[in-house]
Amino acid sequence: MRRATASAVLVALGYYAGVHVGLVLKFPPSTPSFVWPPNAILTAALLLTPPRRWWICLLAALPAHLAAEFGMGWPLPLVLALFATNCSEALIAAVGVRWLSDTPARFDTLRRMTVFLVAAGLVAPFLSSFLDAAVVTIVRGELYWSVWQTRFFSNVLTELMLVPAIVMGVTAGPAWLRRAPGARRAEAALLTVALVLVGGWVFGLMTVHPTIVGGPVTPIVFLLPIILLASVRFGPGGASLCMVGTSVVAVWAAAGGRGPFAGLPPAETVRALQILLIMLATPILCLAAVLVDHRRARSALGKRVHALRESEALKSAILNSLNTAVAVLGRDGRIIDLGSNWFRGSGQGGAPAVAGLGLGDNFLEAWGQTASVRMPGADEITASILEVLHGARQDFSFEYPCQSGAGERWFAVSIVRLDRPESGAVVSCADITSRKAAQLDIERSRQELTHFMRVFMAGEMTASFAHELNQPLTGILTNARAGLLFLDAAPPDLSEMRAILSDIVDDGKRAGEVIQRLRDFLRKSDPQRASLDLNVVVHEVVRMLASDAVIRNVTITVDLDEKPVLVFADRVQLQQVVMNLLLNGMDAVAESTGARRAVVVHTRNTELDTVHVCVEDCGPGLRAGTYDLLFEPFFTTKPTGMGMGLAICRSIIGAHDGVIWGQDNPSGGAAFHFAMPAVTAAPA
Amino acid sequence: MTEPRVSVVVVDDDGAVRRGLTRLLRVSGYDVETFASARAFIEHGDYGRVTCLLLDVRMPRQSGFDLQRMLVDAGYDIPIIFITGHGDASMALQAMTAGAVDFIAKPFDHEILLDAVRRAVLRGRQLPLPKIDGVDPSRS
Repeated sequence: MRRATASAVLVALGYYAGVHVGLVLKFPPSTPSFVWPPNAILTAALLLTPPRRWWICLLAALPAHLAAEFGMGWPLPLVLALFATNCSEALIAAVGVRWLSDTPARFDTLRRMTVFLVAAGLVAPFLSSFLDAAVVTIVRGELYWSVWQTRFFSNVLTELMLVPAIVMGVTAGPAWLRRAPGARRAEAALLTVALVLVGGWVFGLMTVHPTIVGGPVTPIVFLLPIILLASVRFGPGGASLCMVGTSVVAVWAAAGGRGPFAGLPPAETVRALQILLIMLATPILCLAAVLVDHRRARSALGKRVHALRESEALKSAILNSLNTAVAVLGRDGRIIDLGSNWFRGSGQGGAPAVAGLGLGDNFLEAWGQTASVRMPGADEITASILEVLHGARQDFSFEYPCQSGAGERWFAVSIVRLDRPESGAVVSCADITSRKAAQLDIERSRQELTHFMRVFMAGEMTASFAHELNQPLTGILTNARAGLLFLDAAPPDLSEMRAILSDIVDDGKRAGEVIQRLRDFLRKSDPQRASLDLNVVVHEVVRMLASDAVIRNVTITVDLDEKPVLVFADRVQLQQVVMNLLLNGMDAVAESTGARRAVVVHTRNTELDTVHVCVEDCGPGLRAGTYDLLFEPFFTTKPTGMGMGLAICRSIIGAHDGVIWGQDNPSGGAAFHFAMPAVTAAPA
Repeated sequence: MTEPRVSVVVVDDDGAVRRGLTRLLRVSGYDVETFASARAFIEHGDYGRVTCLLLDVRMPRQSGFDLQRMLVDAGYDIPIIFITGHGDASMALQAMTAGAVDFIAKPFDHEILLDAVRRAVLRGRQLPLPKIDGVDPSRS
């Protein structure tokens, strides 16, 4: 509200002052003036004000108009009509500029400046002068075209001189005054002094008359360098102020009857000056707008180039800081960018296929030539790399060993599709020999521990194995002794002897099988996976534990799926898991005082292409809060336990992509489950 | 042999052991009857004719000790020889305390077994004995 009031007061004061300036610069006997500032001031106010507040500006101008023009002794209808014509000019200019320009209060592109020049500088004075001339002709009886012409030229000149100067002075002036560095201020001051001096000289204000031998007829051209310099150095604002200054000097001189047009009648002097200034101002303003536009575009371009350089430098710094060797490939497999690590990672003693490749070399060809002779499966890898290069696949990675002087080294290569229309890929190559060795070490330790646990379990079952062997041995001994006694009889019963020997053979085999099973179970060999039936595995384990169960007085019941429960796994390791769970179950039953002394093994094929095995016991169940700890190494609830059994079970099942878990049975006791992927295809 | 043939009963879950013992005892002049489990003996055995019982300690479901206790509880005094593939001193002591004739570990020398059977026969008296239908097999 205060702002609106302030601007209204400013408009009123400006208008009032403008009328007086206009009246002062009148050259009798013509009514219109050399310049007529009120209309331009009103136009500038409208350009600076949003349309919904235009009425404030127009209303503020009315009292100023009345106050200024009543003093002239003109009749009220004429004063009011002139106000209407003044307003019509400002409105046409403001509406035209607003309609055609994207930013009405700026003149810093050729388009904005041209819109202003056409709408405010040409069309608005042109149209409003018809109204004005009509009013003046009717009321005062002057010549219509003479009035029209006088008013048109003076208003065109005023619009061109004042509107950009006022608008830019209001919008950019305060900021310039506050922030401009001293050098700029000095430059502006020098230009002003030069303009005044040269202007004064050119327009004959000084006593020294231009006397250059062979110089131009009118020395006005000497002003041009100053005006051009102002346009180049200070843009439309500078050009505009410079033109105002030139006008002031020129009018001052003309009013004093001096200057290059001094010989003409006053009215023609005015017209000549008007046309001179209009013709000078139009291209100068356009030039200033083009220059500032150009400068802004160049600066924006500079910023973008700078940003691009920064991003380029960042990219290359990233590439060079990577731990792995990185190369960027074009669609054809040619290397189009490299990290400096490439030569370190892939070169000396590095990956054989890509060693020594540089910018522009074809990675794919080098790989194909070198790898195909050294590596099995290289062709598949090449095909996959091609898929990534052509964008058919997002990424691909592989590891490969290579023999070097210092022994076997391992490399991991990862190829990721380059996300751009022309495709390509980013290759990274890392030496993973130490990681691979650590992995192998861990795997070896795991296998040793697994084997150790089998030996440990077998040790716990010594009594059971003794029992298992004693049975056939007893059979053999008693049968053999009976046979010897039979031989003493005469005649010996040969068919009985045959039966005896047959029993002895069977028992011998049975003892041999017990020992074979134990040896298989204890054998230390690399895991060998094959398609096998978990039902069979469970049977084998139950068979091995049969004596143990009898000794402990525990019943082992099996509840197996009717169909084979097929998995792709290592037989001995799965035996170990099942045995571990069954031994735990029997231990649990031994702790319990319940009447039932049973452990049940279930096997099932599930609908999810997995198999499920469960070992339930009738023991005391798991201790609350131990579910998560059960499979941790060294966690045990048994007085003599090592706490490794279930940890190894988890490791074995995990290695087979399965899961193992324990829980309490609703009906009492504990249940241990494991599930792993099923082999869906029928075994060959 | 002037005395009447005595009847020896073998209860063992292992078929090969049963057949071997049968042959050995027959050729040594005994009548032999075998059962694969304590329960089979309880259901089908003719306790009155049994002179000597060769009993395996560890069998599924009911052990030899269970059967011994049942017989003792029911008032039968059949001489029992335990044979076991898995035995220790405490087990032997338990068997002997409960009145067994002997406790033999598998595998055994046939002379030891036959000697034990002879001692059992000497000790055995053929007393008229009540039936033991009332024995509850589930008490084990």
